[in-house]
Parts: sequence; C-alpha cells; structure tokens
Amino acid sequence: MAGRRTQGLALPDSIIVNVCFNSQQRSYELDRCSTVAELRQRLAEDYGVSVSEMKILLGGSLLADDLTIEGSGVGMESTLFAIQRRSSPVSLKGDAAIFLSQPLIATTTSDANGSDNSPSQTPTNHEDSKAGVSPHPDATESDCSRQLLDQYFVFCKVCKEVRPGRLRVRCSVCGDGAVLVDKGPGSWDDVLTPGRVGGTCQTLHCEQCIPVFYFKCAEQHQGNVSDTVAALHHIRPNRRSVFCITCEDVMSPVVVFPCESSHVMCLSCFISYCTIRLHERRFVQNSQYGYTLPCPAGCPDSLIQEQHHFSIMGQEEYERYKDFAAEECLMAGGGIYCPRLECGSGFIVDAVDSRVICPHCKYVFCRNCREAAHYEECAPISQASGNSQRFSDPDRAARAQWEKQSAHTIHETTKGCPGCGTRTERDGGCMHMKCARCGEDWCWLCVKLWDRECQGAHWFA
Amino acid sequence: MAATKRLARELDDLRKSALKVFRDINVDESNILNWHGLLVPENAPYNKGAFRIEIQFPAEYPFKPPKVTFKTKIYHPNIDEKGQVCLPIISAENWKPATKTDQVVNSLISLINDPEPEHPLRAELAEEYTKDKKKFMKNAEEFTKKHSEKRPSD
Repeated sequence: MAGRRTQGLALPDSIIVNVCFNSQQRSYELDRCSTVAELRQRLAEDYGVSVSEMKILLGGSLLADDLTIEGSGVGMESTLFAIQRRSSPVSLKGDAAIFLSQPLIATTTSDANGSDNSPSQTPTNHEDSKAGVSPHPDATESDCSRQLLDQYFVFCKVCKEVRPGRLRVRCSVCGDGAVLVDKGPGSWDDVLTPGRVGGTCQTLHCEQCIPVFYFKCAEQHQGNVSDTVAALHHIRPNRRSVFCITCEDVMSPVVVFPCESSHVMCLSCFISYCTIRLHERRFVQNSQYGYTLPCPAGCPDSLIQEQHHFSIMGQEEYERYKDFAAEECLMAGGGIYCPRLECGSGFIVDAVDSRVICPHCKYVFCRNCREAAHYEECAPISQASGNSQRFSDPDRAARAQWEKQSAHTIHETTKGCPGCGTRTERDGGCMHMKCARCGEDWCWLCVKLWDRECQGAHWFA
Repeated sequence: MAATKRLARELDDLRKSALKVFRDINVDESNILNWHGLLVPENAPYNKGAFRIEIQFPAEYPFKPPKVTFKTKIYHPNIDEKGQVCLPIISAENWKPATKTDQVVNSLISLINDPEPEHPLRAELAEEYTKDKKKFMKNAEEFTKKHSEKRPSD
C-alpha cells in the first residue's frame, strides 16, 4: 500500500512548509530539529506580532512549543496555520497538542512523505529534541507494523489507489484551516456529521464557524489538486490479523463489514466481490445507503454504508456502478427511459396513458413497446422499428440495423420476467427462474409465476 | 488468482481432515478448478456402494458457486439421469463466498442420505419414494449394487 519511499534513506535536514497567516501564505525552510517555539519567534518577527500572541495550528489543535518540527507531524509542503491570540496561553483550553484523542492520531515522524500527520500524541521530551534526531519508538519495527498506525483510508484520485488518509479540519464559513476545535472527535460520527464537534475559526471577522473535518491523501501531491477526498470508513488497518473471509490471507488494510461479526475482507477480494456482483447486477437498492452490497456471509444489517467504497473497483467499473445505481433508483421510483438512441434520458411518468412524451427530446413513444407512439396494438418485435430508409445517414442506418439485429437476438434468446419484464436468458439448470432484477420466482416454460403445478409437471425438462 | 489460492488451501484442509464420506479427491495438477472424488454415503439404500462426483469451480470462485455433478448413476429423487443435482447451498441466489467446499460436500451427503421428495428433479422417483417407500428402497438398492462403485474397505 502506501509506499514509505524514504525509509532507509537519509532525510534532508530541512523541510519546506507553508504557513498561512490572515489568509496570506508564505513558505518557510525549517530545520527538522528546530522547535515550534523557534518558528513562532520567526513568524512573530515577520508579521510584527508579539511572540506570546502568535500561535500555530495544525489539524484543529495548537502545536506545543517544545515540539520539534519533525515531532509535530509536519511534513514536506505541509500547510500550518498561524493565528494571533490575545488571551494568555493559560486561558486556552489546555496545553498545546491537546485536543485530538488517541484513536485519531497516527503518526510516524521519521519520513518526509508520511509524516504530514495529525498533531503528535506525545510532545517530544525537550531534552530529546535538543539532542537532535531522537529515534522514533517505531523506528526498528517493520514497515508493516508501521502501516498499522494508519487509521484512516481514502481513495485518492491522483494515486488511483486506496491510500492512508490524514484528518484535517477547516471552517465551514471561510474554508480556512485556522480552526481550533473544542474537543477531539471521538468517533466517525463526530467526523462525518458537521456540527457535532464545535470550534472557533481564528480568521478575523469569521463568526458562527462550524469546524468541518475532511480527509486528504497522506501522499503529497504537487500542483492544484483538490485536497479533499472521501474517507472510506469501512476500511481499517488489520491490527488483529483477521483472516479475509474469502481468500483467508491476512492483509492490511481490510474492509470490515458493519455486521455483528465484523467480517473482514481484503481489498483485492472486495474488488472482485463488487465487480462480479455488479456485472450480475446483484447489488441491493437501499433507501438509506443507496446501491450497495451486504457482507458476503449474508449477515443482516451488513450493508456498506458509503458509496465511495465502490470507487476502489477502478474508474470504468465505478462509472458503470453509478449508471446502474441511477437506473435502479429511477426504476424503483417507477421511472422509464427514453428509447431514442441519441437521448436515453430517464424520467418518472405519472400518467397511465400508454403515450409518453420524453421531457428532454420531446419524442413521443409507446410505454409498452417503446416504439414511436401509435394508436393500434403494439406490433410484434420483428415488424416493429421500421426500415432503415428513414435514415439519411448511412452510418446511422447501419447502426440502427445493428441495434435492431441485437434487439431481435435478445427477443429470440430471452424471455421477459413476468414480474418486471426484464429480459432473461436461461443458460442451463432447471425451469425455476429467479429474477436477478426483482427477485420474482417464475417458470421458464409457462412464463408465469412459479407454482407447485410447474414443479410437479416440468421442474426439470 | 483468489480462486487458485483458496482452492489449494481448501483441498489441503479437506485431504487432512480425511472425511470417511468424501475421499480419493483427485485434482489435475494443471487445473485446480476441477475436482473428482468418491462419495461414500452411510444410509441405506446408498450404503451398498460409492459414487464418483465431479466438482467444477468457476474462475470467479469463490464469488461464484461451484457445480456438482454425479459421474456414477444413482437412483435418487434429487439427482437426474445426467447426474445434475439441485443443491440449494450452491444455487446462484443462495451462494455465499464464505461457504467452503466441505460444507457443500456435507450438504450433498445429507441430501443423499435423506432425499427431499418435496423438491424432486425426478418426479417419478419422488412419487415412488413417498407412496411406496419399500419398493423405492428395493429398487434403489438393486440399482446401487448394479451401477455404483465399490466401497473402500476401511
């Protein structure tokens, strides 16, 4: 997963950070071993503010003076927020590096790429920091165990992969990161529901701030890349070394389903599971969580609750997923699609009339056979959908012919489910069909709902 | 990929567990997706013989279910003349990727030991089973003796 690219390599002594003060941003080159206090001193001089009033914020909490730059979790190209506070330090809510509680803090301090973390949990001992690079407690542990410290995962559009994420906070009004939160978030709900954790925006003239938590990829991306990525809260580090429910390997991170047993699936199995289910069109449409999947063991109350988790299938499949999800949602609401090749818009029809007008292209068609509107009975498929003479463009004529051919093949080889009309192909097995779309049990031979009569007379033929 | 790794592990476990009712598991080295084995039922009338079965796993295993086919003829209401069997645990709609092959085999064994005449694939055998059990047992035993494989000695 996240490559610790610099592991084992000598780190540069200094790093570049961006410091934002009153919406102005400046770059600073800092010694890794220098302290937050030294940075405050420098900023106070640059901005003409007294040192005691100059505070430095990262990820919603103040950085303690005795932290080293390295120990504070600041990485290359990190953005720090400097604020001016007139109150004495004592009146601040506790000391620095205070607010974020344990589970939210995952920090390794000895590499440039992964170290852009939430504020460190333990302010480094002053003596240590003076003594230079103090060995991180995890320094001798394997890369794997270090990765277990990453608690949050995101799907990064730039990396095109699941990556460790970093928790950040910004103001709901001005969008600035100079926000001081009242308390550390204690759960995913605190992070995902704005307003559960209060706070104060430190930007001048900005009142009624609600701190908004967001996530970014732990990797540093150059250029104008949108910082915010969706947090995948079902993906977690596999600290307990649980076997994947399908391949039985122990991997990390893993998808933990929200069922009572908290079944675990490795990411590569999760991708296969989603892709195969998607191709079979066997996702579940749920009013609360949308188009989603349950735990593969079939546990109750185990649906994936957040749709971005399906983006890890890759862009092509995710686009397909979104199309299917939209279709299912439309169909569930009694909607239909415009049959015109160039249109295909989906819309809801209230009227019972068989003549339907597409609200987008104004095409008038028959609801039952999806051909152009007509007064007589619907024509059988072989005669419907007229001749290619209608088209002046030979390409379009050929395509229409192709469409007609394929529609014909579909009609020849499939039967419509008596419940929802979905064209269904039978590729073996018995006559008892179960509709993949609406779940109806029906008989292939009679094309009606399955009953004891079918079972007795021709279950198998 | 997931299929190969998981099947290798399942095969290993099954062989180690040395089930009496399912043995002689043969897998072609070049194709782990195709298993052959010998089913040795304990209940009359099928305890007079043994039955060769084939388990075919799809490339998408375990996300799609395996198929089980009888290679030895059997006189049973739930298995047709072609050896096809309708086993709920491996039907497309019931299949769970977490289900293991030993569970499938156990489910198959229980179906053989206790036929389900209410869900028959061969209606005439189901009728005989429900209406004239004695006759069914006699026919099935004769059929088993004539067509089935020799039972292993141990």
